[in-house]
Amino acid sequence: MQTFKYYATSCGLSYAVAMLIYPLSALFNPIFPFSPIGALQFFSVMVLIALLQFITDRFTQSSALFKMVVHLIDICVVVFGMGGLLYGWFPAGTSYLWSVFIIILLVYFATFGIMAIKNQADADAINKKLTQKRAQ
Amino acid sequence: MKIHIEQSLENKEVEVIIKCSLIDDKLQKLIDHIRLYSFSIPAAKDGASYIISLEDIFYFESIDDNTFLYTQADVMECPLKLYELEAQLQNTSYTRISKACILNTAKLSHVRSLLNGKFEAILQNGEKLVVNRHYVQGFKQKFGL
Repeated sequence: MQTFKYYATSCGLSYAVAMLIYPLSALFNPIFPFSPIGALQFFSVMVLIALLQFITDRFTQSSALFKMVVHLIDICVVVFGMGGLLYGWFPAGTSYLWSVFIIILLVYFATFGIMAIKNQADADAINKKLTQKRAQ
Repeated sequence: MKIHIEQSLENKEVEVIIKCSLIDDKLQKLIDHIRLYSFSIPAAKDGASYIISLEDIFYFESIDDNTFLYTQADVMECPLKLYELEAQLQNTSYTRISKACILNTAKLSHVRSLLNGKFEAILQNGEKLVVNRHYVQGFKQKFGL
């Protein structure tokens, strides 16, 4: 259950960040037209990314950096495969692919940052409780 | 809070009765502490058997199907399996932090969050243990988060 909660939180957070970037990118770059169907397609992509990350996490028990690289590969596989080939979000030009890759990095590190801040806040709260306990 | 102590040689066993209207957080902590005091674990080292009080144990670790308990500066083998210990230690300061480890949070010095969603637990004897992502939520709950 805890594992599901982690991936669900990560998926929801990524979706929220992506949905913030998505209309912005549509404003500046017409290759990503904003539409309700597009929002649903985004959600399906996020769910598939979470699923793929869950599977690859079963096999990668290495360092945080290695896991990060594997997660980014997971995202690229789903976004370029499902978003590019299946949904046709962007054409297959080098400049388009780079734009998409930059957006992927933005969403990934924004989500990663928010989760890291939350964990740091929790660690601080635990340390505060431990200090209070010792003072008693 | 009133404390009554009846000391007599007729008492064969220490008995603690708590009379209260409601179990609040403070009382729950006291109950957990009494539980911790009253439990002890059989352990073995170099062919000799010992009884170790739960409050002296820093953590339990399972290595190759054997369970070991770690105190301030000692490591001993414990006959109980990790899942048995987990069941027995449910309402105490102990919590599972990985597939192979149960930590006594009362022996925790401080924690550090790691970038991969895990936590690092630094114990009072300076030892460092990793709280796996799967067990982080349960670990946080021990501190009321």
